[in-house]
Amino acid sequence: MTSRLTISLQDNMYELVQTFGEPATVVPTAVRRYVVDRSLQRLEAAEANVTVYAQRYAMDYETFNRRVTLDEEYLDRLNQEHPLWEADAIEWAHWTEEVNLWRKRLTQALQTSSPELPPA
Amino acid sequence: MAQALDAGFADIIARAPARLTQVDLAEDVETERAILAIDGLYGPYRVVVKEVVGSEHRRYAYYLLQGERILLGFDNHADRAALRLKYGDTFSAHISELVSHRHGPDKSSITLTEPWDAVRFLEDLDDLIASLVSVG
Repeated sequence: MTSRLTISLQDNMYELVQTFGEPATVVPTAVRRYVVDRSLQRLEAAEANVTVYAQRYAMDYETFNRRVTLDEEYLDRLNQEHPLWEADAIEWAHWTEEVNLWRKRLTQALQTSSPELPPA
Repeated sequence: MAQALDAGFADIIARAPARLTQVDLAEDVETERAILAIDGLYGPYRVVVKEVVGSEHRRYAYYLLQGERILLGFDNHADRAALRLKYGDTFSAHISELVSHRHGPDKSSITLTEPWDAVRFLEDLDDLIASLVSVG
């Protein structure tokens, strides 16, 4: 499925785009590349934040959440060793969700077929 | 261009310097997330505020401390004690839910609460401290 989009380009940019091929082909390719690059940036940023907390608590968030909700001894120990752990956990949960979201979006962008450009 | 998420932080940020001293504030706002962290002093007490707002959830953790000691805390991250209070024996079926609750001094007690927000927490500090004194 495709959507139609009308965009404005400065004349000199339009001429430059034409040097790479038919604008109707070049622009969707460029957009796809942009979406892949930005999704990758966001994924890497979210992963870096997840890593901070995963190292601090020596486990991934899913394991951490299971333990604080099911393991009474662990929760007691955590409250002693990291009394403000909830402030970490709410951010950690969010970054974990972002990792999953951007991984899904990146996969979606990569699976979107790109118009074939002539060789540079 | 996509708009940054409006997480309602403007009110909190406006109140923090009016209520707290030595305020350390960090804000990270994007189109689909907003994170606010505040650390400051309220008289002899330390106040820590963290809010994480996403497209589906608002998560929070607020603390009042005396030195390293927690005097009280409000948050909505699930933990075993809060889940047991809310769901009894079926608590393990709800480990991914947000559960608003309050921790007492040294986290030695816990009560379920309605959802709290940072503005209310900052505005109610006097009452909250008074409630601690009244229970010893």
